[in-house]
Amino acid sequence: MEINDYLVIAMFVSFIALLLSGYPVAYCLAGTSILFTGIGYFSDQYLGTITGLDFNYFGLVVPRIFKTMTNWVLISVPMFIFMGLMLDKSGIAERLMVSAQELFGKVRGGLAITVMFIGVLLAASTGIIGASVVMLGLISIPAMLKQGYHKTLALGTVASAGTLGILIPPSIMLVVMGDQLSVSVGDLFLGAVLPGLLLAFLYVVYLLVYCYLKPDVAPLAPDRRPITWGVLFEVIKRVIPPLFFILSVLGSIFTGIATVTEASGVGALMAMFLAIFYKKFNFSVLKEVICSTYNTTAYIFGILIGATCFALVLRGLGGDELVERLLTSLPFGDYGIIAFILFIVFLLGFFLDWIEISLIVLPLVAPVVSALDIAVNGYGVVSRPEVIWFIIMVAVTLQTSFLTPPVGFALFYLKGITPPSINLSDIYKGVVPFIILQLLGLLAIILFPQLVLWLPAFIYG
Amino acid sequence: MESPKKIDSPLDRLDNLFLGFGRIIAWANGLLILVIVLQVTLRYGFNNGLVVLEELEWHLFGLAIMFGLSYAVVKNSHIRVDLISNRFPEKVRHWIEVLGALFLMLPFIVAVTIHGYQFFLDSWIHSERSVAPLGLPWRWAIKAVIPISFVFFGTTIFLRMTRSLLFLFGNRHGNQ
Repeated sequence: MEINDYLVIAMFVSFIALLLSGYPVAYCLAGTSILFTGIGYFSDQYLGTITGLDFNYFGLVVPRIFKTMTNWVLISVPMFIFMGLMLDKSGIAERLMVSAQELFGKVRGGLAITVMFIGVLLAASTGIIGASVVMLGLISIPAMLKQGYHKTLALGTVASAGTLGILIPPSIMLVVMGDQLSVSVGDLFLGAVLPGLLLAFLYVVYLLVYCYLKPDVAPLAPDRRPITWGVLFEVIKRVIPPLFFILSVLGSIFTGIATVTEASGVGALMAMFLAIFYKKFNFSVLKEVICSTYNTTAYIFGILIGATCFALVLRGLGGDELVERLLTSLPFGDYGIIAFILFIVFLLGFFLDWIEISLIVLPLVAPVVSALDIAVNGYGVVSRPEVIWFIIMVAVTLQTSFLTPPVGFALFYLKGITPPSINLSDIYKGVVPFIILQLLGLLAIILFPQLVLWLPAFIYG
Repeated sequence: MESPKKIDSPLDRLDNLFLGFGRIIAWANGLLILVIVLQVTLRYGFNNGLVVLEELEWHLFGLAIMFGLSYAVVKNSHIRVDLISNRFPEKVRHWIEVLGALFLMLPFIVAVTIHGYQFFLDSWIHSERSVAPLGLPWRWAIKAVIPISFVFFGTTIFLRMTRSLLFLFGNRHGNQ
């Protein structure tokens, strides 16, 4: 190893050490970048390395920041955030909860399935792992506990439904990942549909079987009404507006009618109309949503800008080549390299949110993945199919990681909003079966890339 | 910080200034919705998208993300990994804030601001405008957002550091 390589490793280590100190992630990235520009400069002077890092090289971050500001695809991020927050405020989630419960009230575990359904439908638009778990937990855990659900079941359901939301489109995570690796966000959204549905299907089957075998963990609602045509009609009437809304936003992207940015802007406006329609809209709600959108966007892009600087300096130190060299020298074979990358992503997911991982790790490993000799069939329609496949695998891995004890993200957010009588160990127990299902789903995607690529190829082909 | 009974310290007043400014810039996202919808309507309804609107979209977006940085500092909403640091004594956390600002963030921000100013100056000297004939004039104006927003960013981080210093060296205003 050369001095350069040690500097790269030192840069990663300092970043992680800083992170654990509780200093904001964006600052850790930005700070390490300026720190190692200095270190690189002095090592050129005194240690005979040729990093070329100096104050002028660092100036390259400015055009990069400007490129972020002019980035067409990323404009959709604040729009989707606005949409998610507005949907949340419009009370649609509660409404869906009540109506779906009427429908599934007679089925054992029906309430849990309802939560899963809402998680998939709504968490999709919030994108941030913490936000979706918190939102879902707040509206559904009290309801489940009141009905006498076993707490581990209730907690496991919420954690897994909340994390599933980050995969299912319109997912901000996929927008950012697609932008980083320059693949079509539309392809990614479509690619995520079948894996997402597969996971949701596995979850629902598990819930049904488990609640059938152990009826006492999920008692039926005592005040349930029999399902009459009247009830059914009422439920349909309630479900149609939000369903129409979600489908039209996604549909316009999928059919290629609108770009992601256009669909996100129109979706944001429609979410506002939906809130007006449900009489939940007024100026103070709008103000609140605008301010939280601004805030959420700010911390996401804070990290994005920090990561841009970090990546620039890392490249200056030769970090890209080092990672490529390390990965290709692994004695595992092609699938082994993929498994190794996913494992690293899994570990990183314990203490980083998807933003940092997609911004730092993905660009580093992407060239290696593209060069692997794994034939992924894009049916001649999808461009760079192996990258699409890879991104979806990373997404599912991250999702699993967020669920995994002892330090999964989702678990801590959930702990934060549940009554003190619920221990972290209850949450840990609750998520175990879902982690197993996640791993099954991931395995299926690894073995059958068609699961990801068939739908985009079919729609666009 | 925002309790009405307490008399605002100068630090609080400065913070509120940044928050107020942030709340105004925040509407850029609302405006962005309207511009996108207008553009979509023109493009699909009248088959006639406007370059000006397209450029306005990223101008608004750029404005919001850059000035958001300082807003998030005042709101203390930049994401932290606090699994371990939660257990640190409060003093240690404030020291981290002070040292981090002094040795990492402030140098970073000064460097970006200087380069950002050059970036703006280049554009200003050539009175750069959109390359599209029907695009927006004053490309330098949006480029000026980088150094200006970074001065804001730096100022808010400096204010936060001052708070931590006040806490560490004994002053009641330091509590947050």
